[in-house]
Amino acid sequence: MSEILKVISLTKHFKSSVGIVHAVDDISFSIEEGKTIGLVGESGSGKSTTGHMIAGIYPPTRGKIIFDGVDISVDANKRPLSVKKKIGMVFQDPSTSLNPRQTIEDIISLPLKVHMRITNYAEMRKTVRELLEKVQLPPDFMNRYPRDLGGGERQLVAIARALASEPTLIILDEPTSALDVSVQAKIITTLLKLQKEMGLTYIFITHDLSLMRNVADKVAIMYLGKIYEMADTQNFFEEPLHPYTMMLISSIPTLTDEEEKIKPRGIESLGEIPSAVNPPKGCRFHTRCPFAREECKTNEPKGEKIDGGRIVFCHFWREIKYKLTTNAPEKI
Amino acid sequence: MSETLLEIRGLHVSYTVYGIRHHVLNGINLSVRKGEKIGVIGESGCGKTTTLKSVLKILPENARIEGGDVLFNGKSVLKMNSAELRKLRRTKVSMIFQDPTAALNPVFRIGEQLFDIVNARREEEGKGASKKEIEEEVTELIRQVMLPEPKRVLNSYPFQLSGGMRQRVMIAMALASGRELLLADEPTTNLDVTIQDQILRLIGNIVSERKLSIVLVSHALGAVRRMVDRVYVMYAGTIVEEGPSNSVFGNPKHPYTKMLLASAPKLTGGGISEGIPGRIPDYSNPPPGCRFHPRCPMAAAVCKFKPPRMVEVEKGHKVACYNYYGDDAE
Repeated sequence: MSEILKVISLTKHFKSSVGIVHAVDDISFSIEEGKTIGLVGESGSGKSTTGHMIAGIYPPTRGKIIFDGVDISVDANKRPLSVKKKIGMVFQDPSTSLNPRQTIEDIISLPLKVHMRITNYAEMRKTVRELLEKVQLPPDFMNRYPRDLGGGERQLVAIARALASEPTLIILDEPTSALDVSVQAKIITTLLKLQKEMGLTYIFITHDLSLMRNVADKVAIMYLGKIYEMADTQNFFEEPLHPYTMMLISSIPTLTDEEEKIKPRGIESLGEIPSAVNPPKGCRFHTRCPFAREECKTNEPKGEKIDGGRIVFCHFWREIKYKLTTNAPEKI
Repeated sequence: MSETLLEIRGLHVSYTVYGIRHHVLNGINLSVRKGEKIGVIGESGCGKTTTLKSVLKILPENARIEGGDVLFNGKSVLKMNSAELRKLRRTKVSMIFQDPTAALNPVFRIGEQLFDIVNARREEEGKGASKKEIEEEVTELIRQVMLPEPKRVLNSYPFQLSGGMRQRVMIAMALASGRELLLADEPTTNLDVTIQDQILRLIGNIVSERKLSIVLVSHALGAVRRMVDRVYVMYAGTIVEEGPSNSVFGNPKHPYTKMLLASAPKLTGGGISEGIPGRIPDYSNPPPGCRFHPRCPMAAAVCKFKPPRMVEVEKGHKVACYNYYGDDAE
């Protein structure tokens, strides 16, 4: 498998009236073609900012984004059109990401005009119909407006629009968090089916870890603009190494006893994510970490590579893991 | 078995929108005993919030109660006069709203808002108190919801606090006036999972400590499972299933409950179900018979014209579905 996207030391700082917001700070990761990488973390962790930079909504402050061997870490309007069409995006809230005054046909045909150079009206309608079919919506939706559709149907339209330019990479920014689980299930199965059929690569951004478990091949956990752990999905959930990963997984309310069993013991959620304007020195998680020591307050942890592309940023992960697996209480 | 605190009997509520009547609640039966923790689950738009609002009689103006009754301590809330309602809201029952940003007054400090609520309850109870006593109670409430730096919080305006802190303030307010029953309407929906965990633990502890009853409404299924003793499953304004939490979550009976629970992604993996086809019906013209039949894979002819009644399938576990009539009908 070849790497389709590589992100190196990516950084984004925003200026605000209260100071510089360190939204994303020096993160690196890569994705193989046809796979899904998940970015998880609480609000304010920088996961959406990362997605937006890759999509070209704004350029990075520092660092590089290499897509298909091309450096695209420039201003979005300087990206070649041939690269732009290969990256699609689906936003969280389909009621604001679709123009309420356009029909579904208008919405989906814009990328067809811009990227696919379709000018013939009959061909346009045929292509829109095919795209709707791909996301399992009836063709007569073409003539409707977003307000006529339910939340799930609208999100399927947003997916059809993202597919119109025949992208290879799609950034999914919380695509189902505004929807009911019953509707979410439909959107996710459609996305997984499309990925299989078309060999798509996904960057999946969500705060829902249970959902992430079922969609991603590889997961990176972000906190205050930094990646603190990255691993294959199974390892990430069954053997988390970073205390923040453990805290996040242990907070999830579950539906079955089997799920309850895999939650880490001996750790529970504390405190809230601090402001990204003056992020804590050293390890940014130290203010909430129950295992933090003096060293964590001053020294930033370096990434430690473990088997199989796994990486963890914590000074004491070995000791913490030892402590939790030997002294853990039997049952919460 | 302790006595019943709240009982909703055959409640029908409709909303009129642009002159069209939408028949939303279609005969809700729900009861809460003293000290009991109740959960209500279901998709958005199935009437969960309407049910809660009926208990405090705070439905919007376009709502109309078409039938049924709400009894609190055996007394009809729907027939109460304004003095009785005020007393109910100030001293017995309170609500934790989904969005604390919208529920808190943006132009008053947190301390002032809490002061007013405590003061109102004390007046209603006929226990006048000095300013100092009320301030002490306010500080105690802030301490109970484990807000850091209570002094700063009391002097803050809502916008100066984070979402999690605002929700803690909301809970403190609910505790100040709800001395018997808390109605929690999606209290953690806008919060991160770590904060949700902290808030649910907090509510759980306080409810047990004070021996309050709670009705927790949420579409976060896992959150409900962990919190409550008994759960009601709602679909399109009807209760389709009710029972002890572990029985309903562990062994769901109604096709809707089964499909809803199967839709939730599992932390252990194993893929995702197809979800539930279709959507909640149009309430201006709801389907006759079982309201779920258009989306039900097991719907039979009878489901299309006659609504099923609740049958008990296991101890305390009831379901409204013709599939379960066999064992119980006679």
